[in-house]
Amino acid sequence: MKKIGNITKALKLVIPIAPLGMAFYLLLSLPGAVLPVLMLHLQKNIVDRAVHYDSGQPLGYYMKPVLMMIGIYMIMKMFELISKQYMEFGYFRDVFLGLDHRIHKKSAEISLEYYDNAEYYNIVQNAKNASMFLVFTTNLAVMSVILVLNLLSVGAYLTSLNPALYIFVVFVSVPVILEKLQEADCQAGFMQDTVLPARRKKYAFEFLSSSDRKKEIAHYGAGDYIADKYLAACMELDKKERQHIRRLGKRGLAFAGIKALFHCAALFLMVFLLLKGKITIGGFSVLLTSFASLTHIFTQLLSHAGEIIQTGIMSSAFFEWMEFEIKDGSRDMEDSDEYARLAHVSYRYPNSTETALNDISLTIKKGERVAIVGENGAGKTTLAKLLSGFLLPTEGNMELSGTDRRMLRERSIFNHISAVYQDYGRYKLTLAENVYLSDTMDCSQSLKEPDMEKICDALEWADIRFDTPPDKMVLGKEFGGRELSGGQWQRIALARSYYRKRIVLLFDEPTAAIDPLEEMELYGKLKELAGEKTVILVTHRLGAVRNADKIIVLEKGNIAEIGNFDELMRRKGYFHNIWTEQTKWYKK
Amino acid sequence: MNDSKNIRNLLIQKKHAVCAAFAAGILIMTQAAFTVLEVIVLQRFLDAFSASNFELGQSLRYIAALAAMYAFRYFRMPLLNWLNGSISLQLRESLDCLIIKKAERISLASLEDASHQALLGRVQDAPEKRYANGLYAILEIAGGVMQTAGVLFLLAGSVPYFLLIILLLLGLMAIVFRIIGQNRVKVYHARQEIGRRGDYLSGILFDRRLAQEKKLFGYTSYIQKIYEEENIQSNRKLLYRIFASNLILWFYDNITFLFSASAYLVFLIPLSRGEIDIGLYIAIIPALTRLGAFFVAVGSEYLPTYQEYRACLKDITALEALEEQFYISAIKERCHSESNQAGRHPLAFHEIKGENIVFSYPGSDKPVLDGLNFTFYAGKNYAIVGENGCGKSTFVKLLMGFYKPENGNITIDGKDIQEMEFSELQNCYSAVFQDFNRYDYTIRENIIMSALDGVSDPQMERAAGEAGLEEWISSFPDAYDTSLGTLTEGGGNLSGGQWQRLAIARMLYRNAGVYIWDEPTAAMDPLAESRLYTAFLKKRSDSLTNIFITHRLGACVGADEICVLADGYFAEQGSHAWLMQKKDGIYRSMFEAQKGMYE
Repeated sequence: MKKIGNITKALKLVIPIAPLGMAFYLLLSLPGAVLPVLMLHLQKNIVDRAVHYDSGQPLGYYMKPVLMMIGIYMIMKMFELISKQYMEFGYFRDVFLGLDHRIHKKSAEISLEYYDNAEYYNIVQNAKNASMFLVFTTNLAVMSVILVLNLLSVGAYLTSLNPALYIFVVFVSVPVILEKLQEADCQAGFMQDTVLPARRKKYAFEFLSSSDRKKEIAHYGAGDYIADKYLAACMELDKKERQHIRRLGKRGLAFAGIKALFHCAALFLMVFLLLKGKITIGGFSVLLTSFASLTHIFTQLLSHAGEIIQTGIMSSAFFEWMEFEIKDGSRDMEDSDEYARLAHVSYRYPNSTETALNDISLTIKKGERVAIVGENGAGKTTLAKLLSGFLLPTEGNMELSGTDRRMLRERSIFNHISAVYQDYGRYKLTLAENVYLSDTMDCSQSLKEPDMEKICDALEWADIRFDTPPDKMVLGKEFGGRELSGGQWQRIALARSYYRKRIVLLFDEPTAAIDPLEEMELYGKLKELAGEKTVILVTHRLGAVRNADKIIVLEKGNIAEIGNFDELMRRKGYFHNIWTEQTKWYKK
Repeated sequence: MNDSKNIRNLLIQKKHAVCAAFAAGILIMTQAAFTVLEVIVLQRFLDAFSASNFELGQSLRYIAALAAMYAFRYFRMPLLNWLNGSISLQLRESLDCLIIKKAERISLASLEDASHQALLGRVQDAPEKRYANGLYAILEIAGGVMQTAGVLFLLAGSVPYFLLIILLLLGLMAIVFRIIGQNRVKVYHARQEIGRRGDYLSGILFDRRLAQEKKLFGYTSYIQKIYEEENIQSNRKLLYRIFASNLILWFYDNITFLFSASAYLVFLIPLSRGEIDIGLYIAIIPALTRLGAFFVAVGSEYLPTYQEYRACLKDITALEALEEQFYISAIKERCHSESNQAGRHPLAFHEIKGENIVFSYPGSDKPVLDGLNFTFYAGKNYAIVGENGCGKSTFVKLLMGFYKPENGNITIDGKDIQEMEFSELQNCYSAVFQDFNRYDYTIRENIIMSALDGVSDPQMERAAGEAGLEEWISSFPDAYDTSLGTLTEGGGNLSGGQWQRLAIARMLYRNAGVYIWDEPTAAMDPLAESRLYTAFLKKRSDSLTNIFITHRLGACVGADEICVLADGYFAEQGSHAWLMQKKDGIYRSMFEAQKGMYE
């Protein structure tokens, strides 16, 4: 019964996306419900008149029903044309985009931890696949309204001919629902089974089809190996699909058998009625032709009902995604003299046996410039993620601006921070959008217009100059835009954080791949950007941390030392060691 | 019509597929024959019933035949679906092999083209379905023609009228097909492009590497907005095209119906003259309706499907024609056999020399490299430094034969690298790139990927040790067999620095004469970098050549020769001490800048 629950859920989800559109769509589909019966009736008239052909009748007597039939057909097809067009470009697109909107919005709320989880990507892919089915939910709902109308009209018409046949039509049609139900179960299982191999296939293909990735593959001569991976995924997919086709085929044939049986029974009943003299030869022929088209209509309509149930099953992946648990606090972060206070904080990544951070205690005051240094894997980035609100400590207490982190709304923390990351985005949008992307929302969490003046200001500040206006300049070769060098992208990332004016600045290895002269300049820019703000700088370039108010030195997840540059150098401890090693090259 | 033969014959290679296609053909033909036969049987039954000497037994035989034919119609669809499914599956097997084989050989330059990327996207979008549907459409048309001929035969008396209608419909169909068929392919291509763009935009929101930036900046709503706007805009461009197609189809549909419905009237004439009996008049009606539906389907469905099939063939031909820059090793047919490649021997050499090299990217008028000369001797360490975008990575690509210089040549012991086989040239080198790959496979695969011939565990462990990964790897219960990334459930995740070390281990695992380090240490701390270099140089430096491309000038100090790339050539060349003597030298100013940060 969970399936039925999903249907109501699906309808509740999809109908409110565009209720007016749905009403309009229903209106356009109505003629399709009533007119087919009229056509059948006309056909019967035509045949009846032909059977009792009498040359004495005027030509119009025979022409009238034929012309009427043609006219009705044209009207019916006209409505069909309009509703098809409206469905494709109006209603369906709205629903489609509305569903994507929900999927995307959810992605913004999911905790960072899930992004490292394979299961997460499978759920997303499943949800995206399911939304393809959900799009059709209302279409099916509309169709079921039509179905009811058809049932009434066709039923009444058929009963007037011979009530016994009506039962047979129903018998022929009912297996269709069962068939669709079976098919849906089959289909849903098949889709979920193939998500992972399909991703593997796509993943392997990209190594050979994207020039960035292929370079290494070609050099190492690993093409065969990747091709084997691709083919292995293909084989898995093929195997699953072969089973699927076979299963569907067998069931299809079984149901065809049932349907054929009932149809034949109906035929024999008709012959029986004819032989008994209950119907005339004309009536028999009309029944014969109309029975086929009636069953066809019924089959089609009932198959829609079956598809609604099918959607209910298929859409469960969508709801699984939408109901993905999200823990978020309720309080907004307020301004305080103390940015962060950590007491015995530890952090362990999900699925990991070791703690990434151990018993960390520290405070960061407002306006303080803090540097986090340490070797690779010492936990620098993890600490930065904790401090910027991405992760919750697994043990210990953490307060941000005087409030327990657990009580805070994630969004309200982010609203205080601007950042430059090592893995900054190279967005294939316009240059202006690349900058504006860092600050798109106003305080009421709705989109605000890009401030062109501010964007140009940010670009100028970062020394990015092009002849083309920034809102006309598309970046990214894949979509016919311009390709930039690494240094230019880096500056755009900088302009992006400049555009987002906030009281806390986070720099996570911001100048990793940059030449020395450029790096000097960039650090100058960063200093300028910092001003009086609270700054958290994660780096392994010790040369960059001299001016920090506080240097947190991490070693294997623990705080090794904490203090300013002079203090740490005087102590001649761990920091002093790594400093000496880094500078020894320059001291010759 | 000049799509290459082996694509056309794809199907024929697969025996099962040929059998299935044959069976589908028989099914469709049988159905066509039954449509005509139904008319005859029904007519006979009705005639027998109307006749005075009515025999129950004989008429029941007719009804049984009729019932069998009705029943057949129910079995036809699931059977056809089954056959169609298995045909496309067989095709997919062949196509997958063909596509991946080709993808393996396409040159890098060719991959950089946006239209080629679109093509690659299309051939990954279930081409087998379009292929199989095209085949199916051809069979359906053949069946329909047979059916038409049968009906014409039955109505021998009224043939002129029917021939006229069919000719008219055929003419109309040709026009409809011209417009709609081409429209369909254009719409399909446009839709693919919309999809590609949509996938990119939607992908931003699910990209692991952008997750922090996305959440912090909170740009989901904006990306969603452009996603919607671009979708609506590009769809609007399609709207008129599709509406035009649908309108034409509506006309065509109506005209076809007009003809088939008017048959009711036309047949009154032979009926009144007694040329046909009422049995035929009644029996022919369902056949005519079906015939009309067939004509509509040919114009609206079968021919456009056939057109798509042609477009699909064209795409695959275009794919086959894409430039192949290099010949990699022979690719196995359906590859599950064990690796049996011959052992790879690093090429021994004395010097690599480049003379007057000029190179510029397509569409750019300013050359990146302009008159570059160099000589690298075996057994020495070289460092290449220079500003961002000065062409260091381009230089590496030329050295390794990924790009062809416009002018000048690169030789190894006097032999032009253009004349060497690509794999032979690659055997000289082992390189790690700035944008190295991250393989979401096991740790082992990540390391041995660089030399898959003759895998050796001790060598792998040595490489991992040299890259400083030993401890980290042993922290996993599965050690080297731990899966990484998001393709496997429960796969481990690494930091940027760890991925980098893995890339370096991969490079070190490969035996080569020249090791090229193209800025692989960006995410690594300098201490680790220095340890890595010192350990490596101490252990393995004797006969090996190293080319370091780096921004950390400290790492250059120990190099035998430092080459400063500026304005497209090596503006300065020499040892650290020598270059530091140059007062206004580029190297010296860079070194001072970096040193300044530590003072």
